[in-house]
Amino acid sequence: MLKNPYSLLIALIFAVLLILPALVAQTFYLHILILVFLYALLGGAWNILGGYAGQVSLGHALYFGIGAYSSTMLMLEAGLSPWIGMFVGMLLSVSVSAILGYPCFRIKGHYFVIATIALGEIAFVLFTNWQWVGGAVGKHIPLLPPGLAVFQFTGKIAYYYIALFFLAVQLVFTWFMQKSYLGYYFQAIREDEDTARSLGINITRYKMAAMAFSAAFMAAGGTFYAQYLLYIDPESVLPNVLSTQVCLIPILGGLGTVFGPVIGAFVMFPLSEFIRASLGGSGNALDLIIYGLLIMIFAIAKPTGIMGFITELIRHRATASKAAGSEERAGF
Amino acid sequence: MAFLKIENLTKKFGGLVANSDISIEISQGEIVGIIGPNGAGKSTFFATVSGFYKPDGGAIIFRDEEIGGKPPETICQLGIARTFQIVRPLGLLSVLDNVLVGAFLRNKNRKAALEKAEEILEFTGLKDLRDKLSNSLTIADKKRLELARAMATQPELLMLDEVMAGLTPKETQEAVELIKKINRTGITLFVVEHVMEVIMPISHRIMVLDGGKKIAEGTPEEVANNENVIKAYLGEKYNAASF
Ligand SMILES: Nc1ncnc2c1ncn2[C@@H]1O[C@H](COP(=O)(O)OP(=O)(O)OP(=O)(O)O)[C@@H](O)[C@H]1O
Ligand SMILES: [Mg+2]
Repeated sequence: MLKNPYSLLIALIFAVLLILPALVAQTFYLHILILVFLYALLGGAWNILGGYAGQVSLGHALYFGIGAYSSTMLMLEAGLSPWIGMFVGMLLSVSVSAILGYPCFRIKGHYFVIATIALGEIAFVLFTNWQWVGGAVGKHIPLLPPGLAVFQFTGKIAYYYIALFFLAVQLVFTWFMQKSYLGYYFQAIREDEDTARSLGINITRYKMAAMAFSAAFMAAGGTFYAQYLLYIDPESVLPNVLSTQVCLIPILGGLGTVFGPVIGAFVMFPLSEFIRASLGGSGNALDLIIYGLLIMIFAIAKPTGIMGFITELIRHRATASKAAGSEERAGF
Repeated sequence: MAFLKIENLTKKFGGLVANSDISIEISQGEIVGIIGPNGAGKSTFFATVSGFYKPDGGAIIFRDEEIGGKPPETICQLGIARTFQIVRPLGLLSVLDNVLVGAFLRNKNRKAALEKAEEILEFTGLKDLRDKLSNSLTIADKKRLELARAMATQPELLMLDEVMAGLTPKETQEAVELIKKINRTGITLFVVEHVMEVIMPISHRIMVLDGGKKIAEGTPEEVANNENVIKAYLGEKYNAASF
């Protein structure tokens, strides 16, 4: 018997997503799903640090940008495969996260958040003025004969499967992380730093670990994005609206849960498209106002996000159908 | 080699001297009680020994190693665990998961840590509450959870700060038994408690603090008969006659 009856549901959804390209041929729908998977990957990355370890970063576009620029520059300058560039980018963003995290995690609460905003902005300005990486104009990735080695494909189907694969890796990682001492240590730090320390947890070390995992997945997403659009500039891979969105995704879906960010991404995508279509894009900062408002509403009214509604529903049903205690936790 | 030796420990908050020149030696296996009026400096003493405050003077020597000023996580790793007088549950985690966090200190393997956590829940009588969110417990159960979680780190020295406050007489009796049981497993205990019915019968020795200073130390009988202690804290109720 399955330990968790909902793993059946998850397996089912995954199977549907696997065969979906065979049923839905329209490029448009595949494009939407690719972006949703990417959003879910990024939201999940942010969730490791923000949702599990409770350290709110509003500068996470930085790591996305590092991933995008690493693979792009290594391909343009050294002719390296974007896959190698992706791993270099992940390593680089982990290193940057360690260098920044060490001093930043000594600052508490709101000041930490402000520091991450500042770092995100600094990165944006830096890349905008750095001519070698194309400055404000950005870089085009030249079209090559398509193939897995060069991370370029004709049509959307290959990108669809790669995005789904990245997301699956991130979900599996988070699942095992949550079950292991790392997940428990991260959550202990989120719940009460002094309690965590009294139980022998070196909180700076584990915050840095959470940030490193988070940064690595952001960077992988950055490389994917660069290879998908074949064009990057600071506006597209380092904007603060991206930092805000990746924070909002797990907040909408459910902080500190494995699948919350996936749900959040499915909500986030139409939202951002609607804003782009009806309010005229990111130029007037109206989108930021809406995202900020949503973060506030959820933080106050429903800190557990949509996933919270679902687990409550399940709990309710479980207690109604059988009084026997279930092992269900918030972090499903 | 002394198990724990504290020499002239001093801790100040600005102008306020919360602990002044406190010295005490403890052997392994003892239960040492700490009593004293509100604001005497008992919790400050625990917080300094457990690394949450840096001492302003003096030394804390645990098994020949100076630990004064070391960070709390290091001190816990060395084998000294503490509870918080004002409870600090990991609120959104279940009772079991709270204890599991502690158990992971000595064993990073989930299965082994789970076994340890379950064993401690059984030992501390929290088994029936294992799946409850720790936020939702009564204050008495939250205090018991503090104790269970600290125990899960498998300490040699356990410092309990008023874990029995607010218990009914029956619960108090159970708690007394629990502390004795913990001690029988070989754990040395430092116990702060206001309830005399608890501290007197379980302690091998008692240290009395008042105004940040140690004003007496001795067996429960000695302390109960000490003029200064009676004046400063016990009052008439616990004079010699009651022992
Ligand atoms: N963090 C702090 N900053 C400033 N003063 C403090 C701090 N902690 C404690 N004090 C002061 O130090 C003194 C000792 O406090 P402490 O909490 O150690 O007393 P206690 O013996 O534990 O009292 P109680 O029985 O009420 O728990 C008090 O005067 C208290 O106000
Ligand atoms: Mg106290």
